[in-house]
Amino acid sequence: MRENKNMSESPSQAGKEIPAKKQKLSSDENSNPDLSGDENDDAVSVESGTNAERPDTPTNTANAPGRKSWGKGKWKSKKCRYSFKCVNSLREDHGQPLFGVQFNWHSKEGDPLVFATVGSNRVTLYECHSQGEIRLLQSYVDADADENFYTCAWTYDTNTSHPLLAVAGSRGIIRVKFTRLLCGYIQQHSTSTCLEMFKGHYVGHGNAINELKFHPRDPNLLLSVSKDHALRLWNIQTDTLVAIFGGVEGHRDEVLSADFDLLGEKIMSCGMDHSLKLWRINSERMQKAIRGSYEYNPSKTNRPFVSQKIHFPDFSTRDIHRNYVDCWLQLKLSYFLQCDIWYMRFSMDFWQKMLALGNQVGKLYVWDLEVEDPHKAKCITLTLPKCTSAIRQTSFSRDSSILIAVCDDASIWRWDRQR
Amino acid sequence: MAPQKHSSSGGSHPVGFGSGGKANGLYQSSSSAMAAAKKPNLQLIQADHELFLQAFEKPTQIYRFLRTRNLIAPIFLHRTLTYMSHRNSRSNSKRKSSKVDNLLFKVEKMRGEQETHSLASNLQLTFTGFFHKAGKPSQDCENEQNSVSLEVLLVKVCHKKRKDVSCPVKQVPTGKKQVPLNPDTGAGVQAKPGSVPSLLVPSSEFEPSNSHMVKSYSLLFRVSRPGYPRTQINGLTNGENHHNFTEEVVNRKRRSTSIREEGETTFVAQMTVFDKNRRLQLLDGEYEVSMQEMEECPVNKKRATWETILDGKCLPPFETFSQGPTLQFTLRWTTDSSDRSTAPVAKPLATRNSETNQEPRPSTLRATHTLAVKESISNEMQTRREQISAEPRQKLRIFYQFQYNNNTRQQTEARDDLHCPWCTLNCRKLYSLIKHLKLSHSRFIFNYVPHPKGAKIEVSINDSYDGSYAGNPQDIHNQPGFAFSRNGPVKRTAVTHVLTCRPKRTKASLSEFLESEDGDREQQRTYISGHNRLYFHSDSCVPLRPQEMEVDSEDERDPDWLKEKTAKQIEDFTDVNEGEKEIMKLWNLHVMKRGFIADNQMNVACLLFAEHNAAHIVKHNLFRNFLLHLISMHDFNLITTQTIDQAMARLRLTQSQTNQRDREEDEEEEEEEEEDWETAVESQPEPDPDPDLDPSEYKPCSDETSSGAQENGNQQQQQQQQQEQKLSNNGSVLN
Repeated sequence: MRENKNMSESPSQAGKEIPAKKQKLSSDENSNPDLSGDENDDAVSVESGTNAERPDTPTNTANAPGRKSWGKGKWKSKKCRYSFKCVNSLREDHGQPLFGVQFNWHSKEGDPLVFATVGSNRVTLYECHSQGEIRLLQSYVDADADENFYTCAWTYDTNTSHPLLAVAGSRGIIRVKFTRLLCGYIQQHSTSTCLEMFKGHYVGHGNAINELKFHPRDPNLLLSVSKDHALRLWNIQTDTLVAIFGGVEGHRDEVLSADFDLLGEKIMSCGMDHSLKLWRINSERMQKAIRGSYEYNPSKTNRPFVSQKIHFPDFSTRDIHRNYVDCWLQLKLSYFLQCDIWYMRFSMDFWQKMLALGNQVGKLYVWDLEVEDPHKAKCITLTLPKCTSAIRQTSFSRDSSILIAVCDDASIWRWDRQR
Repeated sequence: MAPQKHSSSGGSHPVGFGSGGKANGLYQSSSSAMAAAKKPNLQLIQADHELFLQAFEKPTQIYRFLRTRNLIAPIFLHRTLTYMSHRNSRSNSKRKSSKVDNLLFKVEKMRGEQETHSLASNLQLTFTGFFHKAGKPSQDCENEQNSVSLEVLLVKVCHKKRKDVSCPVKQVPTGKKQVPLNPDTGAGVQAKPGSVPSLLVPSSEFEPSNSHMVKSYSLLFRVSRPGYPRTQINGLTNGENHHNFTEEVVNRKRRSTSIREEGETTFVAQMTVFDKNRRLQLLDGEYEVSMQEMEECPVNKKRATWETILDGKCLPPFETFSQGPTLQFTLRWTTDSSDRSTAPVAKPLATRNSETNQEPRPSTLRATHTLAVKESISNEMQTRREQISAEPRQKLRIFYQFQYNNNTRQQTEARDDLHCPWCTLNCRKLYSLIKHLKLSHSRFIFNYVPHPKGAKIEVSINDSYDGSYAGNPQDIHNQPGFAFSRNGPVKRTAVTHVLTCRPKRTKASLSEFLESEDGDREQQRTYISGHNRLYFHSDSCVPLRPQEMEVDSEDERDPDWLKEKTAKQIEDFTDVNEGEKEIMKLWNLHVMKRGFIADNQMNVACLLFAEHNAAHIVKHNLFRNFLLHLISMHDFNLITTQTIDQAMARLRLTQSQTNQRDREEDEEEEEEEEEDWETAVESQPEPDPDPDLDPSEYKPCSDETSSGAQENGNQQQQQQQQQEQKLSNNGSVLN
C-alpha cells in the first residue's frame, strides 16, 4: 500500500497514474510467465465469487497443496544486503492465531522498543531488550470471550503524547486504549481505573474489522476497514465518525486492507472483490468534514455529527488482481510463496526500504526495495525448522533493527538484523 | 409450603453467610439438633449441605463483595433512605440560625480554641463513673460495691535509641481515684458536684523531657474491681471477639501490662493524647472509653493472627457502649491548674439512655474507641429516638429459614439482633430490616411471617432475578475487560437515574410484608422503562445519544449518493449534448426531491421547476433546452400549453431581471473603462451583449436543434417561440 507514495508525489491525476502502474504490474507478470493464469487461480477466484465456500474468518488455514516454489532459487541467488538472525521466540498461552503485530513507531528516542500483538481476545504488549530478550509488559483480555482481535495500530494522544493503541476484531468494535505502563505514568489506584484505561470505544461497523490504520500526519484520524464492505474514518479526539467510504460504488465484498498515502491525502483500499479503490481525503468535502469533526462538541449540541457518506471512490480498478487483495503486492507474491490462505499481511520498515512477508509454512521473505527497478528487488528467505505455521503479520521496529513475526500457533519470532 | 426437612447437622455450618460461630447469638433451631441426635447420616448431611451451598453461596458472595465495596466507596448512605431515617442522627435545627457571614467567625473561634490546647495547658479529667453491667441486675451491684479504684498513668513512648530493642516506654502515675460504679446517671451526679473525682495532669508532663525524646503521649486507665467473678465476663456475647477487634482497630492501645491482684479484675484502656507527630488527639469533651479486661498473659504481638471480623461474629465497636465496661469522664484543657472547682459537671451521655447505637461523629472518629456526645441534641431528635428505641426494647429473635432445592429443604438460623445477615448493617427496627432485605438483596425472596418471639423470615432464591445489564445503555459497549481488575469484578456501570416517581407513601408498618393477594405487585418491577436500551443511527450505525432521538436520520428520499449517481449516469450518455444533460440532471433531481409520481402533477412540477431553477437556467443559458423539455412533455400530453406559457414567463422574468442587473453592472464597468480609456472609446466595438453566454461551461442548444423540435410542435408554440425570440432580441441575450 505504501507504494502510493509515488502517486502522491506526482502532481498528475490518479487516473492517469494508474494505468502506468497497471502496466508495470502486468509487465511483471509477463516477465514471469509461469505465474499467470493457471487453473488453480481460476478456481480460487470462482470460489471467492460465490459466498458459499469462503472461509468465514481468517482463522481458516486452508491446507492447499503446497505449490512448487519454483521462483525461490532465483530469488535466493540474488545477493541481499540485509541479514537477520532469529534471537528469540515465545508463545502465547492461548494458542490461538496471532493476527497482528505492530511496533510502536511513536516512541521516543532511547525508549525501549515496544510492540503489541493481537490474537484471540487478547492484546499483549512486549518490550524488546538487548540480547534478544522480550519482556511482557501488559496484557489486556476483552470481556467478551468471543472477541477475536485482528488488527492493531499505534498512535499517540495529541495532548499528553502518551502512546495509544487501537485494537479491533471480529466484534467490529474499535477500542482505543491507553498504554500507561509505557509512558511511565502509573495511575493512582482508583475505582475507575478500568474505565480510564480506554480513551474510546467506537461502535458502528456492521461486521468484523480487518484493518486499522492511523493517518500519517494527523494522529487522531483512524481508518478502519471492515467486513461490512466499507471503510470508516474516525476522529478519536472528538469521538466522531468523519466519513464512511462505501456504498453504491464501494467495495462489493469484504474490505481487507487499506492505507493512507505518505502525505495522508488519499486512501487506497483493497478487498475480497479483487478491486482496488482510491478515496481522496484532500477533497473540499472531506477537508470540511474533518475540520467539522474537530469542532464538534457533543456536550454542546443535541444534534449528531453528520458523517460524510462517500459512495464513489475517485478511482477503482479490478484489473490488477485476480484474487483477494490483502495488500498491494500480496497476491502477486502469493503465487510464489505458498500463500493460499488469505489475510496475511506484509510490512515495510519506516523508511520503506525493506518489505517483509511471511507465508503459510512459516517462511519469512525480506525484500530489499532500494533498487531502481522493482523487478530486481532482492530477497532473502528466513526459515527456521521450528517455525512452520502461517505467519500472519510482520513488523519492523522503527530503526528496522528488529523484525517480529507472529504465527498462527500463537508464537512470536524475533529476528535481529545483523550489521 | 413444601414439605420441610430441617437441617440435621448439629455443628455450625460454615454456610454461605459465614455464620461461623454462635458467639453472636446464632442458634441452630432445636428441632434440627434433635434430628442430628437421632441419626447422623453423614452422607446425607453432606449432600444436603452441598445443596444449601449451591443455592446460597453465590448470591451471598456477591452481597458480601458489595457490602465491602459499599463500605469502602459508598454509593449512598443508608441513613438517607426513608425507611432507615432513624439512622440519621443529624438534625437541621441549626440551619435556620446559621448564616454565611458567621462561617469565618466560627472557624476562627475554633482555631483559637485549638491553639489554647498547646502544651502549656493542663489536662483535667473529671470522672463520671465506671459502667459495667455484666449481666447482673444493678441492685445486686449496689449491695456489693459502689466504687472501683481507678489509676491513671501517663505513658510516654520515647524514641528508640540504637541499642534499644523496642521503644522505651515510661509510665508516669498521675493519681488514683475512687470512681463510682454504675452511678445512676439521672440524678446522682448532679447532686454533689464536689464529690466527683477529678485528676489533673500538669502541663510539665507534656514538655519534651531531656533524657529521651518523647514520641507520643497516651493515657492509660486502669480500673480494678475487686471480687468480680471472671467467668461471667466470658459469658458475655462478645467478650472474646471484642478483644480481637480492638486489637486490630486500635492496636496502639494496650501497650502496657499490669499485674492483676488476687480476686480482682483489672480493666484497662489507653488513649493517645499526642501522637508521634505531636498532634493533639484529645479535644475537650465528654468521653466514654470502653475498657478491656486484662488477660492473664498479655497478648503477644507475635502470636497475633489474622481473623475475619466481618462475618457477624463480632459486634460493631459501638455495641460495647451499651454493655461492656466503660469509663466515662470529661476532659478539659485548662491553663489554670488551681481552678479545680470549675470542672464541668458531667452530664449523662445519650448513649446510655438508648440501647441503640450512636452513629460515629466526625469529631470522635479520631479516637476510634471513644465516643464524645455533644450536649446539643435537639428535642426533636430525642423524641424520635425514644420512639424508635421503644420498639426493640425487648430482644427480638429473628428466625431465618433458608429454603432451597425447590423449596423442599430448609435450614433455620436465628439471630438476636436486627443486623442484616449479608451486610451486617444494623437496621435497628424490624421494619427497616425487612425493607432493607427486600430492596437490597433482590437475589433472594424474603417472606415475613410474624412469630411470637419476634419474626420469621423465609429466604429463598429469586429465580426471576434479572441479572442482565441494567446500567446506562450508552455504556454497554464501553465494558472493557474487568477480569483482571484490581478492584474486583465490576460488571455494571454505576448509573444514576433521576426518578420523579412520587408514590403515595404509606405509613411504615410490618403488615405490608405479609403476603397479600396482589403479592406480585412489588416484585422486581423496574422503575426505568422505555428507552432503556441502545439505539443506532440508521445511516451510520453509530450509537444514538438520547438527546439525538428527535433527529430523523431515516429521511432517504433524495440521498446524496442517489443524486450523485443520477448525475453520473446522465453524464455517461453519449447521444445528448451538454445542455440537455444539464437540464436532465436538474429535472431528475427536482422530481426526486419533490417526489412527483403522477402525470397530473407535471403541471405543478414544471412551474415549480421554473420557479426554483430559473436563475440556474438563465445563468447557464439553458433556456432553449428547458423549452425543448417542456415541449416534449406536452407531446406526451403531460402538460398543457398554458403551463409552458407560465413557465417560460417565469424564466423571462428572471432573465430580464438578470439582464437588468448585468446591464447596470456593465454600465458601471463601462463608465470606469471610459475613464480609463477615454481615447479608445470610439474605436472600441460594442461591449459583448451576452455576458452570460459562457461557451466554456455548457454548449447551449443551437438554433437548429430547437427549430427541429419546433417542427413537431404546434402553432401556438411557434408563436411563442417567435415571441420569445423577439423578447430575447430585445434583451439581446441569445444569438
